[in-house]
Amino acid sequence: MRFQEKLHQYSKEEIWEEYCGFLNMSSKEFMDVQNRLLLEQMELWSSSELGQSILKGKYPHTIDEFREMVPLTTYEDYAPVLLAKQASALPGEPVLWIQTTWEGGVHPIKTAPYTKAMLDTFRHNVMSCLVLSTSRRKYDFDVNVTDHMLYALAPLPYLTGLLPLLFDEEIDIEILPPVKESISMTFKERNKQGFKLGMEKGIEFFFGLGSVLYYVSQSITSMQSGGKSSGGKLPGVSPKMMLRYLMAKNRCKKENRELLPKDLFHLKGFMCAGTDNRCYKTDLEKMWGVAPMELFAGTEPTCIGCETWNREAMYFFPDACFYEFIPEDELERNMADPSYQPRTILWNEVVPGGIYELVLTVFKGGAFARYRVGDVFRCIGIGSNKENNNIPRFQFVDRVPQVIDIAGFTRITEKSVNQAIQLSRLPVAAWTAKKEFTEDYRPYMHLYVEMQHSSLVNSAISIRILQDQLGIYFRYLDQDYEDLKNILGVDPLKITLLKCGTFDLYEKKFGRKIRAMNPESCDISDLLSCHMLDGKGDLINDWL
Amino acid sequence: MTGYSWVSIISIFCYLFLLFTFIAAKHKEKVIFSFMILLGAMILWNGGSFGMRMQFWPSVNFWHHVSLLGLFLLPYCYFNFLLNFFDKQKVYLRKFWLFFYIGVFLFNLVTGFFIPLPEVVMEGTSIKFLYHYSWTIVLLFLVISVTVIQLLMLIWRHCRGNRIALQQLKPIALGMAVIFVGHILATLPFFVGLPVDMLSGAVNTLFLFYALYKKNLFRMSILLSTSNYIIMATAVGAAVLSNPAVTAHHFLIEKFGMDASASLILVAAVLVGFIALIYFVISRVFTAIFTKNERKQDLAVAKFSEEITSMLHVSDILQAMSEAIRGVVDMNHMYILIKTPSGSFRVEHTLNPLEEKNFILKADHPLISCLAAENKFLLHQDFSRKMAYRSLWETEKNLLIKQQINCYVPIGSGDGLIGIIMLSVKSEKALANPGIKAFLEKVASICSGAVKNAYAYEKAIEESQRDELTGLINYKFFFEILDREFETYKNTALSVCLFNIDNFRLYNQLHGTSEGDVALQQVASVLQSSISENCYAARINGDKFALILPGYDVYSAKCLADTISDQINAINSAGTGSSYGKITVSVGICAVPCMAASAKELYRNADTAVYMVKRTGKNSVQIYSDEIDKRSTEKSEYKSGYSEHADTVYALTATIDAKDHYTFQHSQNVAYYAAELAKAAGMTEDLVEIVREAGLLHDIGKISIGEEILNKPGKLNPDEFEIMKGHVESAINIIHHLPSLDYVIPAVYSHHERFDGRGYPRRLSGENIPITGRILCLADSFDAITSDRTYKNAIPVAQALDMIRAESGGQFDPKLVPIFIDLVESGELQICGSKIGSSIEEES
Repeated sequence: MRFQEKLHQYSKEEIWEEYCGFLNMSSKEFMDVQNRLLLEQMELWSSSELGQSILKGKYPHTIDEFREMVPLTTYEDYAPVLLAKQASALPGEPVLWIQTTWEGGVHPIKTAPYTKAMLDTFRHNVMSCLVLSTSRRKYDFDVNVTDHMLYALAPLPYLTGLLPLLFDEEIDIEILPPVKESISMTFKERNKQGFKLGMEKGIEFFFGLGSVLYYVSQSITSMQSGGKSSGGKLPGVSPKMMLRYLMAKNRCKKENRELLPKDLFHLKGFMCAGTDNRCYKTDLEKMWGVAPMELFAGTEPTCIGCETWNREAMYFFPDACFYEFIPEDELERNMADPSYQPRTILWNEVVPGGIYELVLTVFKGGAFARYRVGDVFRCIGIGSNKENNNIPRFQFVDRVPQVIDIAGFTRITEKSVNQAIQLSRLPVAAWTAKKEFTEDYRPYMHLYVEMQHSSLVNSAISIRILQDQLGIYFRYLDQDYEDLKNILGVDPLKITLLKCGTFDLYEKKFGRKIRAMNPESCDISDLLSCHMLDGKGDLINDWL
Repeated sequence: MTGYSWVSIISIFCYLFLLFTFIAAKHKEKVIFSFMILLGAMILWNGGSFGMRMQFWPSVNFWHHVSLLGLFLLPYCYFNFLLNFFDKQKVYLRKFWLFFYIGVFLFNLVTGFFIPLPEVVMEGTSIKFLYHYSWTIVLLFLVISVTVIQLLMLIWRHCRGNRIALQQLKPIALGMAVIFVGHILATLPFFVGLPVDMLSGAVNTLFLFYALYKKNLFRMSILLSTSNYIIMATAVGAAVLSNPAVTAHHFLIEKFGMDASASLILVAAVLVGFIALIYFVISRVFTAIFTKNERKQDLAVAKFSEEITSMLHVSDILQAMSEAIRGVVDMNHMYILIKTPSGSFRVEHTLNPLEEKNFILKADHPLISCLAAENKFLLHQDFSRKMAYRSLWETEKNLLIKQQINCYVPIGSGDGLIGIIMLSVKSEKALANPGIKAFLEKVASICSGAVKNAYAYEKAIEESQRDELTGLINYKFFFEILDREFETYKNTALSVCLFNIDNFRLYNQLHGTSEGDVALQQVASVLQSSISENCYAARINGDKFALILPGYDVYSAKCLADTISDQINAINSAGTGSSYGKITVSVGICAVPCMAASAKELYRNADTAVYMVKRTGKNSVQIYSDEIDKRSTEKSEYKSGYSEHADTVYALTATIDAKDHYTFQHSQNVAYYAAELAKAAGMTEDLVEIVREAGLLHDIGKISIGEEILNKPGKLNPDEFEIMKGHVESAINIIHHLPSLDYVIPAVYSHHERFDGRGYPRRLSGENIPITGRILCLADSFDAITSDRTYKNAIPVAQALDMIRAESGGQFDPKLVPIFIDLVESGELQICGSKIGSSIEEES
């Protein structure tokens, strides 16, 4: 039975219990579901060729054995099978392969298989997100067959392209612009067409990456201004929308402000995914009058969690993946010594305030077991009076420090930076990169670079040249980086040129090299302080 | 009476009829109670009005106030009913309106502020009531309007976007529309004098009644019971026939000159006849229209209940239940699963015997916990929407889908769920019928008690017929079956194979009784798995098993026995334990009709065959014959196995003598000391002889130890000691090749064990050490202490006894120590010397 038929057949309470009942599960009930589904996955995965390539002849029979025998894995462990799409080696028969970028420049793409059962669970969970996105309190939601969704996410084979298909299996919500048409459109065309259709039919839902939502919202504002410049013509606008538009114009004029999307559209549900959403949430709420609900989905794990009506914290779905968490201290120890196997704890063992790297085992015949998906979460509490439950709540912190993710678009690693430098033939002696934020809280990558002393005489070196050169090669190596520039018009690279010998001086002074990716802020300060010292380690005083 | 009064009477009758019906119903939901309260208010309103118009006692004013009480309470009753109908709490709001309207009524009772007392006007024979309303009536309407608006808001909030609620609301909304229209019409001149308001109230009640029925809050059968038919027939009869009856009564008196009482009796009799006729017609018509299916279900339940009272077996009960359900529900498949001791649920019965039966629901299957928690009928559609469903494995989901299961009925008892009925019903619409749900639940409930009792019965029977350790048929039941099968197969073929485990006592002594039990279970398992379904495996006693093989001739039985014997031998190679004390069996076979003429003879002959195997080397299969019988009856005397092998043993000990003269002499001494101690400890002659022979052989394993260790002057180093310890195992290996001497193994094998558990090779302690071993240990030590060795001189006897006393409870059995010391101190035991020499001579 489709979701929309359930709307006719069941009461709101019953639908809520089906889709959002997980919010009120007890810790034991949640873990029972987790453990039971892990036992199923263990059987499938352990007996598959892929599983055996990691287990090396061992067969776990209990959950403890599974956690003991299966090492923590990364995509490298699966790449030979998954990139070759060897369906026969997998724990379950894939009906779909989803693709995403892996490591800019180093490994172009990574693929993940989806079984039918995974898609069923995925569909159920995204419908939970849809219900929760419109909720204002328990049992109170507002989803209708006649609703329209402005959809600002990439098409298939990316995961985001799967969501409209899943929605379509459950409810006849109209996606704006229609999926079939939008495939052949550019990003800008899609937005334009989506807005145009939205003006005709209305927009009740808006879904996209936080950064893209922000960009599209700004575009809508400018398109409205465009309407004004073209003599206030809004072709195809319904009388209702026209009336709303005119009233909004009048109100804005009185209030002496720009027309905002919220003046035209009354969103029921506002969903955002990806990283850095917190950078855009406040502005988005100002523009739409509704705070976006954040959900967590990824190519490997599917949709694993979402926020509720409080928009304060995220809850995990019990049936998508088996969740393990690497505590912060273990994560740091592992970063210092990559050969160290960090200890994991379970979902019901997290403590409020703890920061954890997520480790997943995908259920329902998924390929990934004890997989380090590369995301860091903070447990912000256990139990909530508002949601009347007693289970852990989480907040997405960021990617793991080894990866710099800008606005959910690009994943830059140490390897990809080295490759860009190598291709640019710039005489870079040493570098370190850190994800930083502008004053208006927008993310960018700050590259601290030291050039080779010997090359300074023969090469033209300036921050501008470095920025241009490296930018070109980052774009060349990474399509997502290119999109960041093309779609959002953002140049996420900032260069600081350090004096020759700064990195050596740092090492001499602190007895260790600075981390290449995302060093601590204090380390950056130390590095900059070294930049201010002379070769002997004394502070340079211009006046002397 | 006017039409007004008739309408009032009919309305009141309807209300009372519904009210009493619901009062009589056993299980009432909250909303039914609120409907009954609403009916009560209606009765007060209509009844008061009727009483007033009929000017009943005590007064018009009294009935006026009764009517007003009903009227004032109506808004609250509606409010209360609808809140319950939509499952809303709002406790304070309900209380507020209740007390508020009671307050308004009391205020009006005292002051007549809202509705004053009516003016009674007589117009000819008819009576009229004139109400002189003032502006204050508007206040009352305003208050009622507030209640109604609040009610509408609640309804709107509840039904907004909720199509189910809207669907349920329809009859209620229609009823409210009717009552509204009725009251509007009552104010129109055309309807003056007609009780349209009351009529609309009655119609509205019927709509509410329908809404409750649609919400499955009661079954129509409670309304259409026999008692209700009688009430209806009587009421209709009285209403329709009372006037004609009076006329007929007068007519009979006047026209036929009948006596008044005779006329009355005749009229009454005819009236009763008519009422009976009306009852018959009403019950037939209503039953045909409304309760045909319900009756069918009730009959099926009654039949099932009756049938199972005489059933003692679970399979019969499940079959009867299956038939009962099939008679009412049209279905494709039905699976009845019953809980197993492990907590999982296994298919015990299917509608069609050819259907798949080999699936089980694991103990942690979410469906089980779901049904156990709710203990009521569950649609698959509803189960698939529960959180529990999300933890189902895909194989589990697919199984339910493949079998097209669309509903589950729990079979529960006080102790929890004991079974599940899974149905694949052809029409899903049928499952929406509350009658079907109730029927299935009722059948399951009846079944649960019966199944539980039947299980208890079957378990008791099973326990009385089965051997607890092996699960095979026990001795008593074996002979019952043998008699039965003999009668059936005496003229065709029936074989009995008896299996006796060889040297099982020795096996128990060597490995302990728990290992012995495991061996028995293994043998039982081999027997059970080797026979077909029409054969029987039994454990007759300790180490004796039997097979009853209907249809088997001697040849077939021999082939089977050989196979089984091989499999039992294979147990030894599969085992991880010691190689000593292997499990082998001696098998005797007898068959009818050629070798026996009765069941008893059949068994006895097979037993004789086993006996012969035992006498002739064990571990083989013997078919009974007359020759065997003859041999077995010859007197056989106990003969020590030692005599058969005395020469061999002497040769072996002589070899030791060549290597180590001490050991040879020592064995003679130990044999003597041990035999004397055994005798003094009160052991039987046989055991004394075993101890003596064990003494002679106890160090035979030293033949495998190098002379440099055996004759080493000085203490052995740890490595050498380890080698020396190996002489025990070597001794057993040697004795093992002399099968008729294997009875000495327990003693030899344990003569280096210590009472405190620190000995070797098995670190046995206390009485776990065979008594023969404990005796040998003491004798062995005493001789070692009192003899000259390459590394030490002999210790005097007194000092040796002190040392033995000191080790009482340590190395030695504390019960044997005083006996041995007495023997020595009393002089009964000779220390070395002549006795030993004579003993050697005797042996040679």
